[in-house]
Amino acid sequence: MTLEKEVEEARRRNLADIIEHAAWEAEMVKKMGEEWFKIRDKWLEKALQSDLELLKKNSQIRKALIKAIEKKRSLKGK
Amino acid sequence: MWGKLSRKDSGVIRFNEGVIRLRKHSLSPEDSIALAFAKVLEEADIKYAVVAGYVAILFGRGRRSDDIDFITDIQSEDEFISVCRVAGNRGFNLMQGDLRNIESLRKAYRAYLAKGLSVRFIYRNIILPNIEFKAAKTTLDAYTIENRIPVYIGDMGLIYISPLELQIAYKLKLGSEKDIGDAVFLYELFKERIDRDQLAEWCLKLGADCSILEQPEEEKS
Repeated sequence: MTLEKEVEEARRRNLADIIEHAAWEAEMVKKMGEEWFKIRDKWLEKALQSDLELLKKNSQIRKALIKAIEKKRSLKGK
Repeated sequence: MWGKLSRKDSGVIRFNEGVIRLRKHSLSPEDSIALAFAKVLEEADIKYAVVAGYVAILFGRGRRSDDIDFITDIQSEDEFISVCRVAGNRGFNLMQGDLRNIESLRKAYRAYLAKGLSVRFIYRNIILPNIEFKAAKTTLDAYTIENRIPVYIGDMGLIYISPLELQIAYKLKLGSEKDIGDAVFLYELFKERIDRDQLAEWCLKLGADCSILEQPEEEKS
């Protein structure tokens, strides 16, 4: 297999995984209902809190983040 | 409150007569920020619809988002100033201007919104996720707002989202792995409720390949 085909195959497998995982998540929402949201929301909250902690510790990160958002906006033309 | 259980609905999400009711008692940070901004727009009497990644996150997708995209039918500088006044009172700041300075807000409106660009609001100093705020400029934007779907999040609030068929087709058109994942997630969650003809029509109009949604699992890639 050529390198190009190997990369293409890896990309195909990765996309297949992403699709499978997204479909699985939808199934979990249906099966677990509120419990799924409880776990997911807790995880999102923890992730946010660690971000905020990091930003509190280092103000340079905050500045860099704002710059990155500005850059993203100009790249997206939004 | 939730009506009779329909075979087509999961217990946690009910979709009846164009209204979605999401039964949950917790909020993610994304939910809290989106709901807080939805209240700003309600108070300022501005019609809007939330689009893009947050729509999937709202319904349980397990990922984070950098921004929560609001398309609004804001028509003038004065309406924008009115939104900013309410936003300031409700804990938001504007990245591209000073909410306490009317001239700065007028400048931001002319430099961004009037040109079809977005501005960003930050809630209580949380940089990510932030609110990406855009004035409706295109036919798609206008359609999105006109056909928006109300979603009641438990008894915690109401938020309007883009029509699901358009949202799924648009995500497929964008085509990144994240976008395709979001499209599959929404499709799988709402497939009993989605208007397939409308979805096919949007895919055709946008030039998106929606065949990926209907293929058996092992062939979806």
